[in-house]
Amino acid sequence: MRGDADEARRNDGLVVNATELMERVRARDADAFEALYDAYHRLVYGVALRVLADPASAEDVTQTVFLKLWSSPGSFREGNFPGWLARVTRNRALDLLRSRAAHPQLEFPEAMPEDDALEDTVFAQLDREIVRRALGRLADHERTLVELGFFGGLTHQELARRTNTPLGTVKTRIRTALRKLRTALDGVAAG
Amino acid sequence: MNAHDEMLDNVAAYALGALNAGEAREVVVHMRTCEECCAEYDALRPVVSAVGSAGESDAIPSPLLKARIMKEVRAQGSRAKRPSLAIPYALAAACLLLAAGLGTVVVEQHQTIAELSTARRVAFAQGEVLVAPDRLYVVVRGLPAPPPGKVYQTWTLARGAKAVTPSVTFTPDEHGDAVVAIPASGATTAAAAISVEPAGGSQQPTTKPVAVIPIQSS
Repeated sequence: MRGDADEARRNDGLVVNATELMERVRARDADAFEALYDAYHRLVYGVALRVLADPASAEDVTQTVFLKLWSSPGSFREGNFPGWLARVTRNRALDLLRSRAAHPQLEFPEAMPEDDALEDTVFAQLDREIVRRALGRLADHERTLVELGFFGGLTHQELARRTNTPLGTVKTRIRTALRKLRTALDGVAAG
Repeated sequence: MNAHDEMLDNVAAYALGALNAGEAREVVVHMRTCEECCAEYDALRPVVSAVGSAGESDAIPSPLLKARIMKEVRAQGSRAKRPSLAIPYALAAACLLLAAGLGTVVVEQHQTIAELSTARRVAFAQGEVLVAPDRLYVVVRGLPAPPPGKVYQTWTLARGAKAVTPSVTFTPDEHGDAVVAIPASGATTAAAAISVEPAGGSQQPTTKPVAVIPIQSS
């Protein structure tokens, strides 16, 4: 199953086109912004909650991300809108963790690039269930690294500690896992 | 495994966002001159974006959150022809109204402008800091855009501390304006500072601060 290009289904069943809505948001259309919120607030909140594990903080980050979207709508032009939104949310959640760190020497991962890459468009049409199924077909140790790496906001050193795996093995497994996902998603996107 | 295979593994870890700042910089520098690693990154980055896009959970935020956000959005749309500030928190927006002398306005998050009217203001060259009981609101105006790949980062120095603590990063809007809410108490903070740092922030300042703001005790 593929989703329609760049579209998301809102809780009320309506389908929205993110690129079209973002064009309206750039024209300061608050109704379009509300439609974007309805379509994507669960994604933003979900990513923030997985990184922060705290509902109140996740709401703070959700608010920050959406108000930034309203104030700087030019930051997204093309690519995978929900994927871009997830990157931005992860970065803001890590900002919050960093600001609250009791020990400044604690290591956090570098922020992910927030540019809207045209290359990301290749999988922008995929339904999230397809991505989840592809993740589910990875070996457990591969899926754990990918999910903890993205949604846990962990460095590879911390991933090695958490999974009791040698550092070099962690990075090799990350690459193997992402390569497998690429092949799986390419197959769906081409189909 | 040869050294370049290891670099390809590092590229994958970078694509996933699992490298620290120093390691990430090494990968970025390497990719400037390595087509193979660039191609690997271009292949893996969309995968990571797809993984992120599947991050929706069953949990949902409070409906009040939407109300707060839409209230702010519609207020910004109606009160200014000028594009609005990037405001991290609704309360910070209220601070800005206060700073502009726009009177008493009830805001969300259990505080009012009337309460904030007692907040101390500490002016500095690029703006001012409003010292609230549990947060510092740094209001900047006319800051130049940070260089590509860089952001502004705020820092706090606790009273008696010898080293600063990293805090929120931000990028001002096209006018150089921003309001930044720092989770720090004015009662225990000796100073705040702003510096230019690599995107994602640093654990210690890597450039000379553009502003150092002493937070005098009241």
